[in-house]
Amino acid sequence: MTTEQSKAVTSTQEQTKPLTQQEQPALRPAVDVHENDDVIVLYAELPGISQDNLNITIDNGNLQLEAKASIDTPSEMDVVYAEFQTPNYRRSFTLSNELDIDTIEARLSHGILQLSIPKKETIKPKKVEVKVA
Amino acid sequence: MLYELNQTQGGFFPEIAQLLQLMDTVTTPSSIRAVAGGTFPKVNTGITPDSVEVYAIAAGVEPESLDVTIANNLLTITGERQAISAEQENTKIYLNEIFSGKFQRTITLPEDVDPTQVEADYHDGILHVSVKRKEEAKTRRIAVKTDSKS
Repeated sequence: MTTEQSKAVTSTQEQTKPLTQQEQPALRPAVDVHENDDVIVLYAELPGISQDNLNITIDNGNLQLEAKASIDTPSEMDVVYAEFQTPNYRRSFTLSNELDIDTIEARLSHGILQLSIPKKETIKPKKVEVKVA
Repeated sequence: MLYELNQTQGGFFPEIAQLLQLMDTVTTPSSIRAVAGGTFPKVNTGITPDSVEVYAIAAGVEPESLDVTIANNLLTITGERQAISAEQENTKIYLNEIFSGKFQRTITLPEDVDPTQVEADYHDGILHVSVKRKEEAKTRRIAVKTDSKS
């Protein structure tokens, strides 16, 4: 099993979508969000998503995940039943100023996207030593 | 006078409950062993002339924890999804929607499968199990002969 590493983060400021492009209905993927002193890590459950059909964009402090699930099935297969209808996924988050959007790292493994958004150096909490006179 | 608000399914908001039910409806029929919405993992099945294909949608599962067995034409998939662990001690958790824990699904296979010829792979969070059908059950195309005199 391969672990695909990607830096699929691009900025939409350069590539704006045409207004006529209709938004497809999409599911909200389940996510976990963890924060520690250095980084905010977002995990999203995206089964059936490969690196190629995952799109992560940051536009004006707005992080958007978009993906289209697909399953490789034999061409001659007749579906008997399907509980999973290869959905589109979409979910967006507002990023705050202290996050460093230029060094976001995305990693996709077994259908779980791990997005690490580091904090800017200047923002990280510092301990102030109190000296007793 | 008191109204019995809980008489209808869905309690106070039966319309919402109905709407949710409607949204759960999928166009293709479900398995007899399928369970209510939110079941994990979701399962798709299909048949080809040579095999039965089962896809279990289970993201974030360690492949080692997956166990696939076939007995009496029942395919059982068990596994465990580990919780996403915090990297550091002082980690704050804001959202925790991805469930973790053990799971099991059982799927009825057709009578004509050959349980000795099974292949399973796990890719992009989807477990794919392919069970070959018995030789005698495979669809054969028979050429029709004619005594053409023309």
